Amino acid sequence: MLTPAAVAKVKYLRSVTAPPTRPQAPCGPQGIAAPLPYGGYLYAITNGRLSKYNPATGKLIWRRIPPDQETIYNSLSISGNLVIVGGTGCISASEPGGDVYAYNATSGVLVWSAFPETINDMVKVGSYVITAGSDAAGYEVSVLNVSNGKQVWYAYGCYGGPPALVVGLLVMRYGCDSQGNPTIEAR
Amino acid sequence: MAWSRTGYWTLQRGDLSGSAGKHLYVTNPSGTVEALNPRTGQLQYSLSEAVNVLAVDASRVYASCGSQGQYACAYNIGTGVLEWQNTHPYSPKLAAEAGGVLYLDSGAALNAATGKVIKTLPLDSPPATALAVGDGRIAAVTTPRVIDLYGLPGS
Repeated sequence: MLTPAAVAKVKYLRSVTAPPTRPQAPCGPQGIAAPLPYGGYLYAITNGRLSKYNPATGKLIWRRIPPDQETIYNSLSISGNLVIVGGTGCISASEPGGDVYAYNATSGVLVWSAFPETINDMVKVGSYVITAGSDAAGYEVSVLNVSNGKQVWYAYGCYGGPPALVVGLLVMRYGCDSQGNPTIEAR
Repeated sequence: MAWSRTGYWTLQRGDLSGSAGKHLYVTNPSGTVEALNPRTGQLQYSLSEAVNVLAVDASRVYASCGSQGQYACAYNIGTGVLEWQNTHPYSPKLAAEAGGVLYLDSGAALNAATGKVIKTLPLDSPPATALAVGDGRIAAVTTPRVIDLYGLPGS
């Protein structure tokens, strides 16, 4: 833990570099998203690939290419020994669709996949993964079982977007009332 | 459904996702940042001049503030009363709090209790587009393909 006293002594340590964009990558350059120091390792989405580094040396431990490369990956969560990556399709603006892949954090082996609607944000809470996103078709929040990726429930709204947000064990989301007026709701 | 509020509200952040979570931060349809009770949706307090809630810890909620969101502010999490305002203008978009330190995308590391700058990390090209703190290190992304790591020497 870096306390205020310790932070005064902080220095630049090292850098890790993402792989270059693959030629003809469907989504183009994606850069780095969602760096996540956890359990003595550093996870990050690096140009559409999921990478695990040793932050004490900067060396790559493993790197995986999620099966769907027509997706911009933007979110990363850890649950036990699962590292979960999510993102939104880059091909269709009106119905981009979303992808979630869970990998064994030790080996990098793919454990499960799920395909909710657009994902602008994703969070893992307890036994669930919550995704939220919006596109031309509307807004959706989706709740997945973290152990197998099965969808537990989902809901549409008439406006909204990120974040995927859980407070006090309640999923906060955008919705519509019976007259079609926009709402925020807790479920 | 536990509760619903009608209008163009914007969800921002919460304090805790588990059962101990007591504060949901939203922007109301008039543009004011408010704390709601996550179980009932009832108003708890407003955050004066807050724009975007950047981070929440057990004691405070941190937000960009000022007429253009150009400052960083900290509010008491129990009352919403302003505790400090850092008036160095740079419009923070990202922040992470850990161990009593608030890290901003500019590279500034502030004492979370006072708002005083403890250290400014030598970011390559601020502001950072991603920022995370854990395991005694700070990870910052300032160029498209590079994560810079900061920490105590030897870590």
